[in-house]
Amino acid sequence: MKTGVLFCILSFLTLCAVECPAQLYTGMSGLVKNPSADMNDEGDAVIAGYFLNKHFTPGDATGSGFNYAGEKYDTYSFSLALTPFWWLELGYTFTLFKVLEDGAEKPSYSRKDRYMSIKLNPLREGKYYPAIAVGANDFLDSSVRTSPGTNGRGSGFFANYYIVATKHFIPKGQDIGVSLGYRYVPVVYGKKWQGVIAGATWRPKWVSNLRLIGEWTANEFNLGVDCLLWKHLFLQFAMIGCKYPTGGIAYKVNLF
Amino acid sequence: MKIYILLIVAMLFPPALMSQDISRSGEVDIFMGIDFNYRDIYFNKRNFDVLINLTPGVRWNIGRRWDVAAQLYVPVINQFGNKYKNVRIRVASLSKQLAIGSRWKMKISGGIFTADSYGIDIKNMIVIKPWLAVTAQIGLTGYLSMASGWKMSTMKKLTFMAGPEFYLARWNTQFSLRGGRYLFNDYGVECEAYRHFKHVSVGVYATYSTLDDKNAGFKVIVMLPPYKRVHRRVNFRPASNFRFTYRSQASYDGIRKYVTDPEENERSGWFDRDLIPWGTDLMEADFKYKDKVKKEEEK
Repeated sequence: MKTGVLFCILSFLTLCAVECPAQLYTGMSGLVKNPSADMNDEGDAVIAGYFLNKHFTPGDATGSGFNYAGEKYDTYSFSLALTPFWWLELGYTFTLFKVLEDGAEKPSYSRKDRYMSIKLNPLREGKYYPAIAVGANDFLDSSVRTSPGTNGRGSGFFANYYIVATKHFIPKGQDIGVSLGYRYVPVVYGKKWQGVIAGATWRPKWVSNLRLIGEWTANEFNLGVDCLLWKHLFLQFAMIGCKYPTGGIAYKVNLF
Repeated sequence: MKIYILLIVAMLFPPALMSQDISRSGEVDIFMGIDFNYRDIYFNKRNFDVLINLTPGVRWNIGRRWDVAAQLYVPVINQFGNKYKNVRIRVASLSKQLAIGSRWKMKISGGIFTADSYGIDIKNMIVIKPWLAVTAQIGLTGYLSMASGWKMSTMKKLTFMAGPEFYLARWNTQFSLRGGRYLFNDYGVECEAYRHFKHVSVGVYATYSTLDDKNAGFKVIVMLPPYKRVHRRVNFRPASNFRFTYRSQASYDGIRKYVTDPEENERSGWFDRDLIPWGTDLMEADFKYKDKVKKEEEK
């Protein structure tokens, strides 16, 4: 019986074999916390909602960032990402803040942190060389956080800049992707994720729209899995530090 | 004054060089859209304030590219305040499009416009190359608000803007740069870049205004189905498009403009697509029409 159910699920997933490499908390292409040099297809639009585990969100020991009453909290992000050209992705994300409004008895998710993302793919993957991408999240108004006196505590909780290379190998039809990059974080809230980042993905030959992910974020090791169903519905689930669950759902459509 | 007289004469007696009327003269379109607004204000305990208006409208194509159009705001959900609670006119205008020579197209409109404005407006596009055109707009308007009682001012506000547009046909990509004087007497520049897909256009923009400094954001324009339509004397249909604009800065005063047509949008542009076609006019049409008579003959 179990084998039959598993066979049915695998057959179903195989029927819907379309790729969607996504760093879903921003709606952009990538892994879980890390970006990759894989890009969404030209014309792709992705609308996503994501549950952010408190171990995923930026914050520091002083209580800045996603902290309420001295403690970090789980939250949600919502995003829209577009790929107007094969070499360019743009994204808009807002993440809910937990605050105690004036006169309220309980805190609520009534404020938002909004930011834009950009990713450029100057080099597409070749037979002997990897694809290269450069990009940034929360990059607008960067002068605010780097100006004297802010000590890296200006606006831009998710601010980071990166360069990453990705190469895929297809031994016996199994798609193995390897990514290596560097992430620079100009704000204190996410400083622990600054450094060399790496990741690997595996798309099994028989379920090519399913992707298993392992990544090193410069601070912790994450495991994840994502899948595109019916060409439009994208799901991602991951364990931050291999312990704390996070994940999201997205609707993807190609505008051509 | 002489220029105005010449324009009126040209509108009434179109010379042979002016383009032929499109085949839909005499038709009336009755349409309905949704105007969806949201804003993000701190300290009011809501994630977003929402304002949703139904926007029923009517358009009568008189012929010879004369057009009468009117549209209402009918509030359905209003968290924006009393100013937005009443049913009121969004647009009520009379327009005339014409071609002057083979490169210059013009649209002259008069009536009630959006952004609490009324007056007259002239839009121009001069096609220089298949990839290059220049647009210019000038308007003489006054304030008119029917939101809470009737308020109006005399028609003495002069707005104008002009600049080049670039269209890369291979990628259906459009860039525009415009500068001028806007509704709150501010001066500014705006640049936009659009990628046009099948039935959808996606763009980013940046603006600078002497009133509220820098702003930027993105726009999405979706042409609404049904895409196959039939010509009838009276056509009932949804609005032609849905526009979404995101502004990164909350200020709404700088680079403020009105529109003169209920269905004006950045994808279709200001003019009929068969009037000196340029840019997106040369893409495959979003809406394909079939005459009812022909359809019956085919049956």
